[in-house]
Amino acid sequence: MAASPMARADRHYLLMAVAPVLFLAVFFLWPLGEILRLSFTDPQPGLGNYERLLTSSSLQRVVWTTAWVSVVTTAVSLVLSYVIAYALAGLAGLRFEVMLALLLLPLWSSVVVQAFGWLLILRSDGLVNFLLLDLGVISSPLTLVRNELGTLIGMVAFMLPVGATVLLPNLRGIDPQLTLAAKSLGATPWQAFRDVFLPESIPGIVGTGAVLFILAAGFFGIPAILGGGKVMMIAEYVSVQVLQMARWGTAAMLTTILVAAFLLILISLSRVIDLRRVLVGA
Amino acid sequence: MTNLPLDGLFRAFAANEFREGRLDRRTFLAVASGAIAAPLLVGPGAARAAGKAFVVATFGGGNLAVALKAHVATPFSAAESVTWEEDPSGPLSGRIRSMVEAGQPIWDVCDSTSFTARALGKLGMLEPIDYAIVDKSLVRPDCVLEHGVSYSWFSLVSAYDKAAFPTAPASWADVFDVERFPGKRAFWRYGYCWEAALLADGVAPEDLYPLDVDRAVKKFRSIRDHSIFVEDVPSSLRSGEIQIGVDFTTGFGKVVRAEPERFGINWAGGVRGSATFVVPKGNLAGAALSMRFINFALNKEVQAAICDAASVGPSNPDATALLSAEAAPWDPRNPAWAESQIPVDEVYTAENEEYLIGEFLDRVAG
Repeated sequence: MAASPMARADRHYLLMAVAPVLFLAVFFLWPLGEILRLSFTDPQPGLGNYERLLTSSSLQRVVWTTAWVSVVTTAVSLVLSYVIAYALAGLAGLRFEVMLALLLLPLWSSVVVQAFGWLLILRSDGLVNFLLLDLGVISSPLTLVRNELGTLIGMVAFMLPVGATVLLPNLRGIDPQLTLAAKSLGATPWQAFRDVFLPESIPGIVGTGAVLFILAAGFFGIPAILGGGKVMMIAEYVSVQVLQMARWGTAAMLTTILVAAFLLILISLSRVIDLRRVLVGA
Repeated sequence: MTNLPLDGLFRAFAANEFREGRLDRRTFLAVASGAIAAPLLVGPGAARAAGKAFVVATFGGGNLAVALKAHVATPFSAAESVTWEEDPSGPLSGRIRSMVEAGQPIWDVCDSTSFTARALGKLGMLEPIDYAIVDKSLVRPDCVLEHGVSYSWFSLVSAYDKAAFPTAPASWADVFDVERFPGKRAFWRYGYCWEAALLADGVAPEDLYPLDVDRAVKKFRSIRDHSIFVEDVPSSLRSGEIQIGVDFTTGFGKVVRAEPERFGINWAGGVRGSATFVVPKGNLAGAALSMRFINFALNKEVQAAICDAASVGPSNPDATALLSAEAAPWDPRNPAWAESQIPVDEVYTAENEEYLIGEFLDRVAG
């Protein structure tokens, strides 16, 4: 019996998917499997590396710092990118395109360049302190960088265009008629936003939050530069373990933990909301 | 470690990318010696066999790397009619170890430290120095190690911004005194400056080792709000971000020599250590060529050129008389401060290097 045209089309799509799947298998899944294996075998076979997570206060602090910095970064950038995406969602035509281009502009520069830029702006003789001192707002320079605050500023700034870009299709997918209907029934603009628009955008908020958290927890360059050595996150710790100490096992264990945490986030998310809707838009 | 068919595929791919110049060596080595596929050094081995290059591993861009390139590797390879290449990715001891463990060390000479020479030598990771080829009479006795030869000397010191202080900081105690010397300090990210805190806290030089880590941590933390921990201390000093930096003299050399009216060096109580050549066990170009390279670098004219370029002191005492007026102030054995320099305890540091890095990252910076 001849295959139905639908099944034939499906097969074409499947064939097209083979190359990327193979690529990912070879260059992503297999190395990831190697890391997983290494975390159980180096330096000795067993659970020794994972045991260190329970006994080593330095490992615990690195994990804690990573979690804390990522949560704060995610929360702040989520709120700010919502505002940006909301403003953008209401625009159309050339204005929308120009604003979108401006939003994406920072992504053209590398993380390292951005970090050093913030260093120049935020340090004690930098632009911000210069202005505040000049205006008489402060009498001695504020310590804005080379600490946790500087790390958070740099990370939030980096995350904003990412968060807004992920949120945008979600917000644009919400039917503007809904808000109009609410207003016609006597709702103030704030009520219409709070009771109608905001609840509709929750899947987008949750999904964007997950994307931002996963990005933030893997950050390396910004905390390494703007943290002044005082904010050690997992990614940097892994690099120190590998390059300075040749402790592959510990590095592999931390990497495994990070990947496991990300998978857990995505799996639990997919139970609550439709991930496809988040990533592709409504 | 693994014999999966994919391992071979990946290895071949990475080696090819590297050979074609699409993958820089740093990335390649990270992949090669790394968690992704540990023993995949067959690739560069093959590339090397074809090219027969002699590989000098340096901390690329550093003052010593620049000096080694210009004054040792280039004239040596010309004299020996070999081609050479620099691997500037930084031969940290952990990386030498992984490379030797993986079976095919592609580095033929590493710019390293006496600690690494002792620690890795003990583990059997280094070629013993062949003193039939290397003329040990050229250098001071403390340069001669079983698995390494010290080719230059520097000290852990502080450098300061002259404009920031009416009177110059003149001791380690001053470096840690933020009342009398207000301003930001920078220390190297991974430590190697424990001695500074202990000497500042009043520990006598003869009681320095074994290091009292707890006491040093306390001292460091007392000025933590005034401190940053960075990869490149001299750059922070030059940019004006800090007013006092603690680092090795060879690091400060370029910055201070460029603007001597702006920066000063505080040599008092400097902790003297050496830059040391080591040869990974089983290096591809053969140990004999590496030994001739090392011996070449000990020649007094070569030594003087290294010192001039890298702001270090020579291992060959005959080179001292050849130092230029600009290089002489960077010799830890300069009579003006030779007396006050404290030799680093190489054995202690070799045995505790990883522990000390960990403690610094964890308790001082973190």
